[in-house]
Amino acid sequence: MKVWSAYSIKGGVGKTALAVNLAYALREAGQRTLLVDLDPQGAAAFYFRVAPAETNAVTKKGKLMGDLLRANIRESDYPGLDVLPSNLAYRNFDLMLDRMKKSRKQLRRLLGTLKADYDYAVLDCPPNITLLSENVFRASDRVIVPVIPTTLSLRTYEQLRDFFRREELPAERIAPFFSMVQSRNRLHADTMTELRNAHPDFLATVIPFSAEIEKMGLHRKPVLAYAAPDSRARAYQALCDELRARDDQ
Amino acid sequence: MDDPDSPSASAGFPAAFRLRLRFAETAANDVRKALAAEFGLREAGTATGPLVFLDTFEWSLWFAGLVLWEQGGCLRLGAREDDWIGAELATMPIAGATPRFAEDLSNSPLGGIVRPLIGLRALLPVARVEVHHTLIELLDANRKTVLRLDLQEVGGRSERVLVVHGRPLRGYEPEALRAAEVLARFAAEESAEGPLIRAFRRLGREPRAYTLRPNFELSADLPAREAVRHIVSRMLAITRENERGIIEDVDTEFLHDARICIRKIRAVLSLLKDVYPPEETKRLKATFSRLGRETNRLRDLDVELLARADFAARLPSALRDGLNEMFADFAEARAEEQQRIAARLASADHRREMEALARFFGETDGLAPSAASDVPVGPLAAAQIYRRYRKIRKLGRKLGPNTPDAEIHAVRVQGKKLRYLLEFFSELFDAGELKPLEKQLRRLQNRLGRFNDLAVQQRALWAYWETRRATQEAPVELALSLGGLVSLLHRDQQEEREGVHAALEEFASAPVAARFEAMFDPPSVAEEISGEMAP
Repeated sequence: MKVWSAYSIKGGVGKTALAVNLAYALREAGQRTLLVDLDPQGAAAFYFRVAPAETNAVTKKGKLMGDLLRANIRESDYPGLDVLPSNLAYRNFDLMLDRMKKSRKQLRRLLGTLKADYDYAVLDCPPNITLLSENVFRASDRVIVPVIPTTLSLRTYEQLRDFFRREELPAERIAPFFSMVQSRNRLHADTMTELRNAHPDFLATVIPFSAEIEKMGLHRKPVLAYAAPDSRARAYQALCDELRARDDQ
Repeated sequence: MDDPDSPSASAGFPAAFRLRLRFAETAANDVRKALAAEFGLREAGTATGPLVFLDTFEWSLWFAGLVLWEQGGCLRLGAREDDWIGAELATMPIAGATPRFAEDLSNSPLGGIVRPLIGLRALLPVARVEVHHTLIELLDANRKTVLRLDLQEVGGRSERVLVVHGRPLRGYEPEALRAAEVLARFAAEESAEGPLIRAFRRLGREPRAYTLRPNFELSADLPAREAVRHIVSRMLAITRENERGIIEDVDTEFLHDARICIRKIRAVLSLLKDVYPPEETKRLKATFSRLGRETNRLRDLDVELLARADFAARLPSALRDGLNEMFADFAEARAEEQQRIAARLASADHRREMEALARFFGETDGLAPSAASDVPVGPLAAAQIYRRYRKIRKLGRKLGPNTPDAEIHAVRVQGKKLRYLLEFFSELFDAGELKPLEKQLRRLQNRLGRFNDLAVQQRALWAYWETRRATQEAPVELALSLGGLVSLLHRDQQEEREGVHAALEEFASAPVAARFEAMFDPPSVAEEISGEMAP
């Protein structure tokens, strides 16, 4: 089972849309996929009409319980794609992880218990760098980072790289791409050129800003499930293909 | 991915469930209404299509508790449940024509289950059932799908049955259970007669056990002629049952079985001597001998063609193509011979002859009594069985490493006679005591059969080579392949010889002999028949 995480220090950059659509695209490619909603806001599960988890996967003793986690898995309306919905108690996640032994590898251990069931796990992670994010970084084969082509976004991306360096995490796990790109925005175009020069690891695929993607909340479906075949929102499909090709290298 | 039984619906989660519902004109609507009281309902599509069910002449799959059907370009195998499709076990896409023989089933899991069950038998359409599917999704308050239902209206208008397949979604088991409870209110009582049996009936078929070892309803004191009559008329009926399959060339087993029946008839007529006046016995033996002989060539060609895969497996790949031409010749000869036999079996002459024989063995024959016609069959059979056994023992003692093949073949012929006797008259003896003896004999016969097959194959290959050389150009590739093959077969035959010796030794051993004697030659029986059965 490969683990892909949608991650950003900064909020509002199209992270959840990324997780939801990547999971959908993987399923379309015949991969058994689990979407794990780690964001306490529960937006990823919302898009699949899956209610928040009833059982807290974190017991009072602070032990992550694989069985309880499994009991919370819900099959989406798209066979082959399951959702592990978020629970508000994840807010206390960090606190609990902090109290545990090997606190940075708990998530990895937990996901390991699901590896027979799925080809891919896609994680929608809460923003900020916390102990949970560190768990995510250690559990992931890919940390996929949406970057809006602005100076501020660049700074947060570089913060993430610094963190990886400091913690001696493999930087090649990070897969950044440009998100919410406005094609007629001059600044976006210039920033992208500049950034690509500085960071050749940026994915070639660009996710455009699109009203269609914004409407996901209305449809309560991944945009790939309702967008027209020629829609620009299909870029998620291309992004998924590019990431898989990079995995195969 | 959309397969309801895919591994993602993995262990620990409830599998798909199936219910057969009581039929009423409005059943489908009633079911919908009841569900709508508890769930949101969304119709996700409808489909109508025929299911074509396949099985062999012997109903091999049916009696194994399975159903195999073709649907939308796929072959599907399911458990048979309440006379309909139960859990689906395997699926195989169909590339071209509907698979007919074991070899047409790929190395798929479906093939793995079906192949050993059907053997050399052909798969035939046994029923065609129209199914109207309505796919319904049950939704929760978020309009999230919690259960998928496939409502299947099965069969014709007047005899429609409603089958519901439910596929729970992972994590929504409580909802699935609730829906199942609603559906259960409509569940039909289990009955022997469901949609499949009715569909078979429409095509004039019905699953029935097929066997070459029927019960002849014999008793030990039945007069010998009566017993022979019972046996022959039954075997004749089975022969005739197989004729259609031979004429239509469905598979090779029809001819094979028909020939076994004829051989058994010949055996019973020659083993139970004097149950008919001598000239009558002579006439019957000649008739059945001719009936058997007639199809010798076709059976030989069948056997040669069936050996193709085995031959190919024995030879290194470089030598395989050399045989292509030979098999093409065999196939051509077989097609010709098959037509000849089909025409013969379909002819009025043949039909009249078979009907006359059936009449002769059907009721009383009106012939005068003969030397053994009224002897009770029990002791007569026992004496014959014991004689055959002693004969095999005697022949076996003479065998050595240099015994010609023909003499080993003679043992096999005797073994066959003994086997037929045991089969005919098994009803008269204690099954528990008989079984180990039959098993012992089967072991010997299997050895002898393999030995003989290897000898026959070598002869057939030589014969082909001789004709090729005499009549047309014989390519060197053919010579190489045949040479290689004959050598391999010869080596295997020599190895088999040791097995034959060992099996014979065991069969002739004192414990086995003692058991045969105790069962078939108790002192009282010996006295009773000593006068009649003197050689």
